Amino acid sequence: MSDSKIELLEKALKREKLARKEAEKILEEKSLELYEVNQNLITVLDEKEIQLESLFKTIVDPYILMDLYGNVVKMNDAATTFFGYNLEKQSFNVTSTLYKEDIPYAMKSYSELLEKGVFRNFRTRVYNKKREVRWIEINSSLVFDKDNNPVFAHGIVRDITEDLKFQNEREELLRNLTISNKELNDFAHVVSHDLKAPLRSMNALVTWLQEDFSSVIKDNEEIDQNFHLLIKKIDKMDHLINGILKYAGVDKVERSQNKVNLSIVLKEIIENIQVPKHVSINVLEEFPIIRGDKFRLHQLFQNLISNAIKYANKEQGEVTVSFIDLENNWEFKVKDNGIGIEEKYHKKIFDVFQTLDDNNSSTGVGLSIVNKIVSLYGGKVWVNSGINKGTSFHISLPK
Amino acid sequence: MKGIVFTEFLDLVEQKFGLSVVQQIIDNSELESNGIYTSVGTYKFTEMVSLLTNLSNLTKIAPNDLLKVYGTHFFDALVKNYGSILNTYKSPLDLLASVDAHIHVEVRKLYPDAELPRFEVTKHTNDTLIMIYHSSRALYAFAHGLMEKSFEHYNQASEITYKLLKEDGTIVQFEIFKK
Repeated sequence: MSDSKIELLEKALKREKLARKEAEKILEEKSLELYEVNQNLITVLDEKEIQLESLFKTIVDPYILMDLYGNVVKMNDAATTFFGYNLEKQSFNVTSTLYKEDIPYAMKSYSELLEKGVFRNFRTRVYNKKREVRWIEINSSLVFDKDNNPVFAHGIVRDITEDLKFQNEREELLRNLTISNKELNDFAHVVSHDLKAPLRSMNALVTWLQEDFSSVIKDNEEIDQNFHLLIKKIDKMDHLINGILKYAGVDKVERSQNKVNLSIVLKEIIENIQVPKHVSINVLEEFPIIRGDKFRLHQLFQNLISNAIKYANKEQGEVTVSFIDLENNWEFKVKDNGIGIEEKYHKKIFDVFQTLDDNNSSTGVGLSIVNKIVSLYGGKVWVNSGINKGTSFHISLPK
Repeated sequence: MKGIVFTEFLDLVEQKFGLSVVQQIIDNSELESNGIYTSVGTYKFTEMVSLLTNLSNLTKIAPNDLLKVYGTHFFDALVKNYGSILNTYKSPLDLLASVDAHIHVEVRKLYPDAELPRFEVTKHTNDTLIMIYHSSRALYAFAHGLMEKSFEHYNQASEITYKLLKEDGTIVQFEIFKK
C-alpha cells in the first residue's frame, strides 16, 4: 500500500474516531436531557394525580370506576361507605348489588350505555352494605382509550330513597286530601238537600196554618206578626242552604281555557239584576277578553256588583267597575260610595256565612264564593275601605 | 443542517469518487467541523455549500446535477432508517403530497430546530401532483432526486418537470405525473 494511501486512510480513520467521540458526547447530553424531561414529567404527573385524588375524595356522592364487566377498579370513600366493600381487601362487582327484579332493566340500560357512551338518570334498586334496598340514580359514561375503544365505565351514584319516600308521601297526602275534599262537598250537598225537604214542608204547613186560622189572625196583630216572622225565618234558612249549595259547587269547575268577553258578561249582569233607581252603575272601560269559565266569571262579578249596589249610598248610590291591564295580571275594581267596612272586618268578610248586617237576604255566602273562584284561578282578592269612605273590591287574575 | 445529510454525502462521494476526493474537498473547504460529522450532530449549512462547490470544481459536474444524484442516494438512507414510516404510504404521489402536512410535522417533533423546506401542494389527483418548493437553501435539485427515487421505490414510472418561479431557485414548481 502506498504511503499516500496509508496517509489518506489514517486521516479518514482519525475523522471517524473523532466523529464517534462527538456522537458519544452528543448522545450523553441527550440522555441527560431525557432524564431531566422525565423528572419533570414525573412531577407534573404527581401533581395531576394529587389533583385527581382530591377531586375524587371531594365528590360527596358515591363515585365508581369499573371495567366493562362491572368489576370496580376505583371508588371514592362515599362509595366505600355506601356499598360497604373495601377494594383493598376484596373484589367488588357492581352486579352483586343489583336488586333481583331490576336486573333485566339494568342490563338493558348498560347495553345502552355501551352503545351511546352515556346514560343519564338511570334509576334502580340496589343493596347497600347492610343489605337494605335503596333506590339510586346513576349518571354514567364510558372512558375511552386513545384509540377510542371503551375501557372503563364510570358513574356517580345518588341515593334517592329518601327523596322518593317524600315524593310518595306527598302524593299520598294529595290523594287523601282530594278524597276528603270530595267527601266534604258531598256532605254539603246531602245536608243541604236533606234540609231543604223538611224546610219546604214547614213552609207549606205554616202557610196552611196561616190560611186556616186567617179569621183568628185577622183580629190578633201579634199572631199575625209571628206568622210573618216565621215565614221570613224559613225563607232565610232557605237562602242559607242555597248559599251552601252554591259555595260547595264552585270548585267543581276548574279554570277552563275558554275566552270570555267580560264586557258582555258585565252587560248581562247589569241587565239581569234589579238596580234600584237611586243607584247608577258605571262601567268605565271596554273590558278585556280573558281566559276562564263564563259561568264562574259571571258569578264572580255578579256577587261583587250586587254587594256594591246593596251597600251603596242610600240616596245617590254610585257603583264603578274598572280594570287595569298589568303585565302578568288583570286587576279589576268594583267600587261603591256606601258606608264602608271597618278595617277589622276586611279579612273576615271573605269567610263563609260571615255577614256584617242582619239584613234577612244577606247570607254571607257571596264574598266567600268570590274568594273561592279567585283562588281557584290563582288570583287574589282584597278590599279597600273605611267607615263612610266607600268600599272598593280588587281582584287580580293572572293572564 | 442535520449531520445525516453530511455523513451520507461524504459516503456517496467516497463511493463514487474515492477516499482521496473526500479528503480533497475537505481540505479545500474551510470547515469549522474539520470535516468530522456524525449523523446525530448539527452543522452549518455553509459547510455543505463549500463541500458541494469543491466537489463540483473537482469533478466538473454542475452542483445541481450532483445534488440530484445525492437526492436519489439520500432516499435510500431514509428507507434504511425510516422504512416503516414510508411503508404507511400506498403510492409515491401520496407520499410526496404528505411531506408537508405529515412527515415534516413529525420531523419537527423530533428535531425542533430542523430547518425544513416547505412543499405547497396546489393540485393532487390520482396521477398528477403539483407542488411548490419553498426554501432559502435552494436545494430543489436534491428534492428532485428524492422525488424520482420515491417512484422507483414503489416500482412506478414517473415524469417530473420543474419550473423556477424565482430565479435563485428558492421557489420552484414541480409537476409530477405518474406514468
